[in-house]
Amino acid sequence: MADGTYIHFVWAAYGVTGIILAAIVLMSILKHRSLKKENPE
Amino acid sequence: MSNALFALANPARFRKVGMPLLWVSSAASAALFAWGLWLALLASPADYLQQEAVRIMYIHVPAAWMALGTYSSLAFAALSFLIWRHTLAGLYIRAMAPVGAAFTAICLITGSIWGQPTWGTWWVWDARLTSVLVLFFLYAGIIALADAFENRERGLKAAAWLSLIGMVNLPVIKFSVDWWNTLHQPPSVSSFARMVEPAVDKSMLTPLLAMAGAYLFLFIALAVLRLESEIMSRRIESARMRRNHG
Repeated sequence: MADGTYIHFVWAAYGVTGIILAAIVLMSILKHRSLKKENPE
Repeated sequence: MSNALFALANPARFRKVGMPLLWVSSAASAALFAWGLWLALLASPADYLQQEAVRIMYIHVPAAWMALGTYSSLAFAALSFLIWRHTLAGLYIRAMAPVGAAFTAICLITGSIWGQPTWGTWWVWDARLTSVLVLFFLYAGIIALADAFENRERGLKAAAWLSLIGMVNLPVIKFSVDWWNTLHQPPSVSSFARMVEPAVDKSMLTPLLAMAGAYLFLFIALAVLRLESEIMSRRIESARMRRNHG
């Protein structure tokens, strides 16, 4: 079966998941980078 | 095992093993995501009943596993922080609560999107959905409490207590589909009997497990990165306080 029934729901779900995961990864990397610059070590 | 865990609870020792672990887990996560997405979106078959909508399972179910797993790890860290006063355990709660909240949000949103074509509704107030929503609120509460006090230690202590109290919600989530008559289906792979003989066909089980692996390695990479950030932030704060006091 590959007639694409409900495929727009699949794209929506994968899109939202991608956005949330990208956001948490990006936030973590940016925070780490800015703290590394500030670190007295 | 417990000795190794106690040894890693030392921030300096953690930082030494952290970086190699970060690179290995990031690479493993990226590889598993590539393989898992290919299997999930292209190689696996559509379901005869749910049609293409079944592909949502490959991101929804592992997110639910990670949401519960992350919470269990927070509760374990809370116990270590409150009983043995492990600094790293307190920092772990602060670092990983947003990650757990992200996994729970993915689980709730993708579940809602999956619900529309299969159940005919975006949301129902049944036991499984409601208890997962409560889990999201618990994560939000922990994030808020950890930053709610001027004194960092007090904030961590309050967040640790909430993590422990919230543990009562985990069995409710797990067994909600058995205890109550819910719209949500019972487990297909997560119980022991189902592990031996899963109700999911191999062509669908493989992408499910590949995506679960991708999430797990992402979780490990994020744990290392965010814990490192917490350790650095603490050092910066201590240095600032030393400067201010003398």
